[in-house]
Parts: sequence; structure tokens; C-alpha cells
Amino acid sequence: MNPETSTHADWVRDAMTRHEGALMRYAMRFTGDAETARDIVQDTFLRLCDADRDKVDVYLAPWLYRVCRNRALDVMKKERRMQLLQEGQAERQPAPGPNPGAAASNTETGAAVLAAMAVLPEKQQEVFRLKFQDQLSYREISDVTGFPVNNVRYLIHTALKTMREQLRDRLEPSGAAR
Amino acid sequence: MINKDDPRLIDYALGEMTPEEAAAFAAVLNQPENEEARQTVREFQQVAGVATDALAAEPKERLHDEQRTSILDQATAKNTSMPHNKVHRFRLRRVVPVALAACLIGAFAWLSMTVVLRTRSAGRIETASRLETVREVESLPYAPEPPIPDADAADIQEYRGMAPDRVDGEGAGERARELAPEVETLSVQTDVRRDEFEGRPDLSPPASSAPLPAEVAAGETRRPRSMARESLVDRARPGVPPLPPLPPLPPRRPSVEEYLPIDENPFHAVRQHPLSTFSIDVDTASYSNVRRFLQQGQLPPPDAVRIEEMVNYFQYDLPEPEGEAPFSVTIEMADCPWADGHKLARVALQGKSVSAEERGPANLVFLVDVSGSMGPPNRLPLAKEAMKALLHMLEPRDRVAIVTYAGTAEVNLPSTPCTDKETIRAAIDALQAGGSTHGSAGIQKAYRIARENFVPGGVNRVILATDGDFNVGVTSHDALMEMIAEKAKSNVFLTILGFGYGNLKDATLEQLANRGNGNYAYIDTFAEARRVLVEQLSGTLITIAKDVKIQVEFNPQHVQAYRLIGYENRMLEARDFNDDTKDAGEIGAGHQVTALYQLVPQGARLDPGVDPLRYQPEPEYVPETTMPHNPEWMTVKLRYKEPEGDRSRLLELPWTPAVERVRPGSPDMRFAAGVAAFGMVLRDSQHRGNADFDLVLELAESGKKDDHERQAFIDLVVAAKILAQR
Repeated sequence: MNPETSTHADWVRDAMTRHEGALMRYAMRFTGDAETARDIVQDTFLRLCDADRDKVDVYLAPWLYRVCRNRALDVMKKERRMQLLQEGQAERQPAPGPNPGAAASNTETGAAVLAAMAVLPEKQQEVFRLKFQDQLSYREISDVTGFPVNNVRYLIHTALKTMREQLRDRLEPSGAAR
Repeated sequence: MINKDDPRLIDYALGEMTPEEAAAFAAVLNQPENEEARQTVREFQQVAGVATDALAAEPKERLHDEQRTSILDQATAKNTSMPHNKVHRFRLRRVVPVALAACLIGAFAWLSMTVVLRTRSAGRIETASRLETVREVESLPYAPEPPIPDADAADIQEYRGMAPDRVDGEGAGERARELAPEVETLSVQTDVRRDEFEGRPDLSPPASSAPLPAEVAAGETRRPRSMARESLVDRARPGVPPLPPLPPLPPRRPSVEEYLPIDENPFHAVRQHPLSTFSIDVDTASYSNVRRFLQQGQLPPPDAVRIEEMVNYFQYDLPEPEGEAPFSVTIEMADCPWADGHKLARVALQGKSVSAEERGPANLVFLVDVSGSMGPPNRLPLAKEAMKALLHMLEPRDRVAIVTYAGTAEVNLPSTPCTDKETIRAAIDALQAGGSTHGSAGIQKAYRIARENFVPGGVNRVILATDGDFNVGVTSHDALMEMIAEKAKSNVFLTILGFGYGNLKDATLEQLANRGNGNYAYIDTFAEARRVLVEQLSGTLITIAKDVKIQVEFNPQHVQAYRLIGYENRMLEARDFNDDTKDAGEIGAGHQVTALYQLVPQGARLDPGVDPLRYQPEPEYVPETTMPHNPEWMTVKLRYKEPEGDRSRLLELPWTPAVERVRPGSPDMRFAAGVAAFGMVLRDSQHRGNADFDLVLELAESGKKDDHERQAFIDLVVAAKILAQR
């Protein structure tokens, strides 16, 4: 392991270059608010600074997502508690991510996909996105979320089947999607 | 028969099976009675594809610059006891150009929307070493597992009720692994981030009742993410009685070579996908590797056949460049020999020659793998001979250093001027194999020495000799690639010489060469060593342009569809062409690069092998009335950077064919077509039309001129034909 600290910073910098955007997007799903998401992602990378490079590097992406997720859940819990103190309301759901349909899709099919996703149960949505947006494997998703692998598999299967039904009229038998 | 609700279909469609599972499953899936199951797989892949595209279009916010700075400060100050320097949250909102980014991304996603088969997603590479390390660090240093929020017991139960065990007869997965534990042809999937979300309209003729393409049947291009991971099937259903045994798999060569999967470029409709963008490639490893297989009496695995490298192995008659650009561009079109009515276009670059006197002084670092696996005579001993041959060509103003790696990385010989060749030669002779491989430390040291002795304007290069087996000590494949990409920024170039067979890590080496601004040659014999390091010394050592990208725009008035033959591992997004931060290939002095396109002109049939329709008119091109008639068929654009430069330059060449008549093409054109056809036949490509070994021989004979390399190629084709007939 190279003891030069500049290499450690290089490693962190590379990790940021590769994962900052995706982690921001992931954090936003929990918070709905960009500034809070930035704090969460910053905290994630600060933890990376302190991590043992040799151990983490084999596993960098799931590690980052996992730390980010835990931090996001902590932050949301705290915010909810503060909100309860302030408003004395009954507990409400954690803020969902920004409406995915809004600025993202310029195509009919794209919009249909995002709309279909939005009605999936929360866990299925999270796992589905980790698979198809962040390109993680079942095993990595399991590491990130803590759900057992077979559960991840089941969630993805169920979500995919639902999506297939929703998008059925957009699929063509010869193999081309409209 | 596989039920269409079988959950394995989804695992298969998403690439979540191990190679053995996938291969076994594919074999069963391709049986005629399983058409419904295959259709199901296609559907899921489409859904996955459109979902991936839609999700990729979502905008990403960024951190504030101050936040990034504070993170890097923390990283640098890691060894002090300072508290975290966290930037306080800004209340002031910055202008985040989300809308603009979303428009650009959205527009691009729209272009990519007509996606077809999405067999895999850009994944991570998990080599055997990664797995071992993961098992060691089972308790990773992050937060303890949060409790599962919902009642998942119900989920799990219901899922177990969906029985793979309802399916009769066909076991997969662990059965296959039991049967053939030692005969693994492991395949590696790359993290090709720049190709992450490629959308390609597929113009292949409808084939709804045909089995999935040959590559799928062979199971070798299904890309599971993790090779040696436990079977999901195992973990999903403990306690379920085992399925009946699978019939034995056909015997395979017992070796552990690794090849990047090749997902063949399909035909693209010019109306939807007018731009073809790719990075050049001067590697020739695939040809010598294929030659090695054939000479040993075996047909090569399809993924080892990279057609562009085979075509580029040969020398063609191309004009020396004049003027400023470091290369000349030649474009030729002829009739396509394997598809009636189609054309073949050849785009060829010739790099300018640099004589030995003209080149700057050389600062070379030999980085030699001396691990135990390098013992056999065709590895380290051959590498030593190769290095001595190169040494012979160097001059007193050049310098050589040797770094070895095995267990640890040692500077075997500090940078020594070639006024003292004796010392260098002695150091080479003294190299011995033994120990395990610790590649990353070796790479660090080699580049450090190269930088310390950097000659501006000279030849600064690390020459790595290895069988590629970095399986101990390197933290991860990704980390290795990141490191080499970082090193490449120092303007020290890289040449990779691959040796050996049986555990040649062709995939790793090809990628390292790409990321490291380098070239990759496979050295099977001393003759090949001489060819690369002596005859083509200038090309191997002297880079005349880097990050060379090609973008071709086709004119729909003349071209209906096109297919780039080869370069699958080099494809770029259209927007990457103008993005100077995107890495691409290097071209050496005197090097040539040839790209072949199969073109379907307007008015020609897309698939001449299919009967004309009886009940409908053939789809016809309706000309754009707003665009004036333009006789050009295509425009070839090139971007390249000076070897030590940062900003790319652009060459743009519109092209119009001279005369439209029956044209067999020049001898070079015919020979190149023959090589390409050979590659397609060896891969049993779905696009090979009516190419077969006889056509290859006919083309090669008519184009062989007097070149002994070409004659050797013809002999090789004959050998392959005989092997294929067995």
C-alpha cells in the first residue's frame, strides 16, 4: 500500500469523480432536498477519507451507497424527530425523492417508465433503481440495503414483472421497443 | 420445457447467472419447444433496456466546490488528528443548471430510446481475487446492518412458492458447476462506463421464431457479473430437493483464459442513428492469438476474435501523410462480397513514419512479470529474448530500466544509459520466474522511474511483459484500471506484450492498454517478438497522435443502413467525439488503422437472404424534401491530440464515390475483406451473410500480392477450414 498521502487523496478524488453524481441522485431519493443530499454525500466521502483503502477498494461502489444510505436514513430520522417536536404531528413518511417524471424524460416511453416506477412499493422502487440506474448486482444491492439476496431477487423480479405489464403495449414481438 | 413464469428467465435476462449456469440454461432455452420462454427473456430485456434509458436521463445534482475541497483536505490530512472539516450548509442556492443538463441528457436519451436487447448492464468486474478478499472482509467497516423494515418473511415465502422445482427436467446452475469444475471458460465483463447506455436500433430482419443468436446459444456472451459467486439458486431455495441431473456439457478445453465479450455491432438505420463513433485501435494481439490457437490445432473461442485487430495486423499500400496532420486518410468502396447489393467501405489511416534518427531519445522501463506462472519457455524466456532484441535496436542516447514484480516490486536495474548495454543485457539475462504477482506496485514503480527520467519530446514508455495474471495482491480490477489511467496522464506511454496460453488474461491486458494510452501485442513466437519490437519498433515506441477518435456520418439519401465490422470494444457515444476528456486510442509512427463498414445503399435489400414481401411494399426511403440533394455518401471526421497535448484537432473529410459501377475493389480491399470475413466465419457471426472459408480463401488469394504475411494468413485459413470440418 502506497504510504504517500497524495495517493490517498487521489483515490478519494477518483471515487468522487466516478460516484458523486450517482450518490447525489441516490441521496435525493431519500431527502427530496438538494442541500440535505449534499450534506449526506459529503459525509459519505468524508467517511471514505478515513476508511482503510485496501479493504474498501474491492468493494467501493456498494460501500459508498451503503454509507450514503445509512447516513440518509439517520438524517431523515432526525429531521422527522425535529419536525415532530416542532409541529407535534403524527409521524409521516420520509420525504420521497424529487418527482422523477418532472425534468427527466423527454420521451413518451421514458415518461411511461418513470410513471410506472412511481407506483411501485417503496422497497421495490429502491431496489429497482439500484439495479437499473446504478447498475448494481443482486449481491451488491443486498450489501447496500441490508435486504437478503433472495429478497432482493424477489423484489426485482416482482418489479420487473409489474413494469412489463405496464409497458406491454410498448413492446414489440420482434424485439424492438418503440 | 421451461415455463414462461420460471424466475430463472429473469436472472438470465439480467445477466445474474454465473457463466456455467448461463451456458447450461442457454442450451436448454434454445431448444425448439422453448420459444415462449425465449420470448419472455426478450421482453424482460426490453423492459430492462427502456428502464435503464429512462433512469439514465434523470439529472444529477452536484456537490458545492467547497465541499469537494474540504473532502480532499480531509483525505490529505488523513494522518493527523484534526476533526472533520465540514463545510456548513449553504443557504444560498447556487444556480444548478439542472434544466440544461436534463435537456441535453434527455435529448440524448431520446436518441437512444430505440433500444433492443439489453443483455447486460455495465457492471463491475469481480475476479477471483476480489472474492477472496471479500470473504476476508466479511464484516466491512461500515454501519451495522439496519433491521429489515418490513415483514419480509411473507415476501420470501411467496417467492419460494414460485417453483423452479415445478419445472421438469432441466436443472441448471449448480448441476453444471458440479459437472465441470475444472473446465471453466471464464468470461469477464467490463465496466465500460462510457458505453453505459448505448441505444442501438436493431435492423436485423425479424426473427421471432428463431432461437436467440448463436452467441447466446454458446453462452459465451451472456455477461454475468460475478464469475465465481455462489449461485443465487442455491441461496434462494435451501431445503428444496435437488433437480434431476443435467445431461453432460460438451467437453471444453481445460484452461482459464479470459476474453472480453464481444457484443457484435448490429446494422444501424441511418435515419435514426446517422453517426458511428469509435476509438481507433492499433493492437494486433487478436491475430497472433488466433494464429496460436489454430497452430495448436484448435478453433479459437469467438470472443478471442477481434476482427479489427486481425485486419490491422497486415500492411497495406497507403500514402504517406503530407502537411500538418500526422496521418493520411484513404477511403475506398467496393461491392460487398458476402451480401448481394451491399457495399463495403474501407476507411484507412496511415500514420507518418518517423525514422530512427528523427525520434527523440528513448526512456524505456521494462516492467517484467517474474511470477511463477511466467516460468514456461514461451513466457519469461521468450520475453527476455524479445527485450534483448529491442535492446539491440537502441542507441547510446537511449536509456533502459527494469522493474520486476512478483510478491513485491523490485527495481531490478535503475535507469541505465545504452552506452552500457552490457549491464542491461546482464540484468535481462538474470531474470528468473518465481513468486506471486503483485502488479500494481510494479506499475507504480515503473511509472515513477519513467517520470524521473522523462525526456520531453522523446520516447517515454513502459513496456510491460506479462501473461496478465494479476490475481494476487492487486486490490481490484477497477483499481488497477483507475491506476493505469492516472499514470497515463503523465505522458508516459505503455506497450503491453502478452505471453503464454492457458491463462492468458487477454481481457485485462486489452483494457490496460486502452486505459493506459498504450498498445497491446500478443507474442507467441520469437518471430512475432521481432516483428513488434524490431521491424515495427518505431510504431511500437513512437506515438504520433493520441486519443484518436473517428466519427462517420452517413447520408440517408444514399445509405440506408450500415454496420461497423469490429471495434465493438471501442465504441463511443456520439457526444464523446468532441469530449477531450474521453480517452481513445493511440497511433504509432508508421502504424495503419483500417475500419470496414458494410453499407446498405438506398434501394438495396436490407437482408438479401430474405425473400421479398408479397403482401406489402418493401419499406422505401422517402427523401427529405427540405434537404437538397447531396452526392456525398459519408463524412469521415477524425479528432486527435499531439502526443503531449491536451486539446484535440479535427479533420473532416466528406466523401463521394467516384463512379457507381460494379467494383471488386483493389487487392488491399479484397484482402482486408477476406480477413474480416474470416473473423466473421470464426465467430459464426449472424452478420456473415454468405461468407464461408472458401470465400475467405478466394478473397485472400486475389489480394495477397507478394506478401509472405498474407500467404501465411492463407495457410491459416486452410488450417481453420480443416479444423472446422472435424
